[in-house]
Amino acid sequence: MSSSGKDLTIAFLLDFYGELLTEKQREMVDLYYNEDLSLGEIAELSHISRQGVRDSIKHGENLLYEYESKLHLAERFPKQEKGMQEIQELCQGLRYYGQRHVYSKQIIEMASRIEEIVRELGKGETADRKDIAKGEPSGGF
Amino acid sequence: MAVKIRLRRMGAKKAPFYRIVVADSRYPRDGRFIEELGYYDPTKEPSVIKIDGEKAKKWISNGAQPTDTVKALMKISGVL
Repeated sequence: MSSSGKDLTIAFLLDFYGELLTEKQREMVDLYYNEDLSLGEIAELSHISRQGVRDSIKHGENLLYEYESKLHLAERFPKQEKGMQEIQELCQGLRYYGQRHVYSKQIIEMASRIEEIVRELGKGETADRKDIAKGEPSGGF
Repeated sequence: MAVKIRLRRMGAKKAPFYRIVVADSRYPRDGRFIEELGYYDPTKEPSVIKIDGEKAKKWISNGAQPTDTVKALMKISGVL
């Protein structure tokens, strides 16, 4: 929490591990990093001291870092996404060859099946954030 | 009324994308904002910062307070 701007990787980590925090911690980290509120503003909103907000966020951050250091989900995610996208592009290419060059129903079907699997595996990965941040707008306080 | 220039997270989970908005500090969280000044997309390599410098300067000279994070982005993009 330096004065030169917030480290927004925390917001990214919150997407992966937010549900492992308490509702209060999650809410405060969310307000601080996703809504860019100040500690003072959050304190006013939640009717607790600025120091209390600070401690809660700090604790939440430490937990998020700890989960990431053990699970590496956030670190792996971009690579996975890129790989999935490349697989889909390759499948399109395969289908093209299966249609135009060496007509093969099997190749086309397999390419389609691979694409289906990739879609299935990627499902829900990037759900709408608001589905996860339960309690929505100011209702939490 | 305190007017702030802040980031507001948009978009899907695991795909961060931020709008840079001018908003009344009394109503965080309700989605309302007075004006959009640009956006910040950290998912791109390198990340993309787009800020309307003219508008931003006008708001600041009228007393709008940018958050430290917005200030940092403005510095990087050469607006401040």
